[in-house]
Amino acid sequence: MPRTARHQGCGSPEHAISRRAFLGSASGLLLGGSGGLNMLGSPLLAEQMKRDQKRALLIFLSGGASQFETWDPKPGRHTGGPFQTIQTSIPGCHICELLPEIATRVHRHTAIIRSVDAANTDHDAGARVVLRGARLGNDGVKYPTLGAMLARELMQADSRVPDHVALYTAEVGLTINAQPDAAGFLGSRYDPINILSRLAPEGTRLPEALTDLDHQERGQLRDLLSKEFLKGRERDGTAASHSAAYSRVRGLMSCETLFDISQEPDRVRARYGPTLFGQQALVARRLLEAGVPFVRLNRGWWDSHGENFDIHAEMVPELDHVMSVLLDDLEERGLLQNTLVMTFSEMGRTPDINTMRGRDHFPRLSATLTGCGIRPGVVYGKTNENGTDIAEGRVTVPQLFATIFKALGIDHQKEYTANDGRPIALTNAGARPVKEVLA
Amino acid sequence: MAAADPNTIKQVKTLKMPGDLLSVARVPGGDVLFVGNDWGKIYRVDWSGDKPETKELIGHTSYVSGLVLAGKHIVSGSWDRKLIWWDAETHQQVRTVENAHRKWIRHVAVAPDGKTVASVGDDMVGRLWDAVAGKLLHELQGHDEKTPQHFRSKLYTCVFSPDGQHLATGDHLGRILIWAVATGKQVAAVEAPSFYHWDFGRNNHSAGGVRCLAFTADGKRIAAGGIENRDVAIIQGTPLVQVFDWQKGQKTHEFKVGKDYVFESLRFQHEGAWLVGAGGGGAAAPKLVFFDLEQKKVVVEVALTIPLHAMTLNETSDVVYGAGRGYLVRWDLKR
Repeated sequence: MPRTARHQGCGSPEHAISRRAFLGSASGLLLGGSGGLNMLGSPLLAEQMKRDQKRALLIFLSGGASQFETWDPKPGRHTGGPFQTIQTSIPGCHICELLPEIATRVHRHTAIIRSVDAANTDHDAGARVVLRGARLGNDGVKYPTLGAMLARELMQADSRVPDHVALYTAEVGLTINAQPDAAGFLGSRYDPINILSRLAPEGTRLPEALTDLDHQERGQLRDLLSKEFLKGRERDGTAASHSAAYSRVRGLMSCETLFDISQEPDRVRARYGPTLFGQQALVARRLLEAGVPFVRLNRGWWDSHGENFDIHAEMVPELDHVMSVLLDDLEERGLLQNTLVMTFSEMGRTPDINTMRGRDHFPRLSATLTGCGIRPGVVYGKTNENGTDIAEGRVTVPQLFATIFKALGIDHQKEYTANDGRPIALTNAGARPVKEVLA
Repeated sequence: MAAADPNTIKQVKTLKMPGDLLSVARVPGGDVLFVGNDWGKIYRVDWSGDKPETKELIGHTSYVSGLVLAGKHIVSGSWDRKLIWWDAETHQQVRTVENAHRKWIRHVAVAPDGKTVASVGDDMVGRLWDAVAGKLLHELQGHDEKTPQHFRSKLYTCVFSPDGQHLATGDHLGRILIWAVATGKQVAAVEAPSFYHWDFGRNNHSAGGVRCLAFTADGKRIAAGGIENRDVAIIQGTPLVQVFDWQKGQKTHEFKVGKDYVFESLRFQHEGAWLVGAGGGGAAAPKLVFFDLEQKKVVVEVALTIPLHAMTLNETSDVVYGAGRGYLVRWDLKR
């Protein structure tokens, strides 16, 4: 596998030492310290991390949020539905009235893309398209998802925090109509830690019968045996991946408090709100702040074949509030300039309103990109007046991926080597970033 | 005179109309109706001759979800938050109350004497209006703005009692509040939680709500319609009608008829002989269902080819008008 340049924060030895010191302190607190993990306890550490490391957050609107009831409304058209539009802080740009908080912020850090073509209208297949860059794996290659690739590209070699965490509000999207991330040939290190309907992974605490010393000693024994086993099997990705996963267990356990939002001041928790999605967003912010390179917030389930407007009237205001608070919080902490926040779904919803006052599956959708590497205040692409097709600026999923990689300073044409030795570029050949949305 | 027999029901007319018809009001004494649709349009339909005549009234910009005839006026309410008074003869706008509600207006009702109009919206407030002067009389505040899961609730429907003394309002959580019209004070509350479904694990959002209400002829009981939902992504569940003695807060009847549609409109025969419920949208074909409260049974079920979003009866309850997806339908009943 060719060596590829990764984002290693600032790359300085001091940084690496600082991270270890920081994580060591986190571990110490977990194992008996008091006062909890305060990652901003050392301003120097926090500032250094903020300054250097790039991160990515995908707010995946699983099930297919309606572009009409979010970013691309069509008021007054038969396809438009009942909601009105509101003027945003971008001159001439209107979005659905269900997004009043975001409407005042879009000029600051956000680009709206109204012309993404997922070319698919099935939950599973659509998710494979938008999460794997339109590579379905029909050629036998287990392609990694966007999250796994970003985790690999943005991770820090000595990191003890997870590289990839996915928080799901709903079972649909993870276990039903499955749309999870997967590392594929990149190896299990980049597989996500999936957290469903809760705020923290299960099983990160030691069993009561096992002391920390016992656990450390078992780990050392396992390391020794693993190294012996790997001799002569260096090219065996499965074995290496298995070993790597074990070696990270203690690091993950030391990060348990990252998932504990009770460590946050009351006013911060109140700001994010009481819903599961809001609380998971706060966990996501804590993870990003601690250096987790890729976090997915999976808000589902948006599938609204019936009563599309009542469902969106319930769910979009929550998205509006939580996304606004999250962006503000990242900005206030100096993290947004190095964090790319993405929102999209596996599909959009139909212009036609069915007999259940619902909208069905549609291959065109809208996306937003906010923060790192993005030119703020851009509205790219256009659908026609009834929203039945893309009129200008079609963006394919590989193009969207190329844009995301470019925004994060990653060469989207560089190649990985799949298990069978094939060179695999980060995006399909010919995909070009949408330069209009890039800073 | 004997009550019209639901078993004799026969569809006699259909009229293709633009859009989804969401509201209907009938002019007494004939076959003239006003209907509102999801394109913000209101149509006057004169169905008395061989060839229907329609006239368009333009003023709303979103779903016309409520429409009543109040004296000389038509009063319409919409998801555009406006209430509009129209002259019923000239069809000119008489008065527009912009932002009559802070959120989408879901329903409009009129008192039997035509002097008071009620509106409900997703700001979770009911409002009573002087039907002639358009003056706000009372604000009815008592429905929770948020669900227990911290999402915005919805206030779907309202109806006056036959004597005009009470107004009932029904919300997303299955809560029915009864108000004294004269004072605007809440006088009773009925809990109907079967109408609300919170799906935490599977979809993480809710569905349901009391979608329609009707007082019995004696005003002592209130019927509520909707669905007992199973799947919040598509309308799947058991269509549900419950009847309550609202003064005691006790459920007296429960009807579950068919599957996978929502009762969106309820009307009692004017003397209380039967109750009719119209099925709206759903994963399965809806029904028009007649109930006998005394016998506690379903009298007759009529399969519908379109979902009905609104329904009304004539004065003698021997004609049923249904308004739904792209069609206005008339059924006749014999005595």
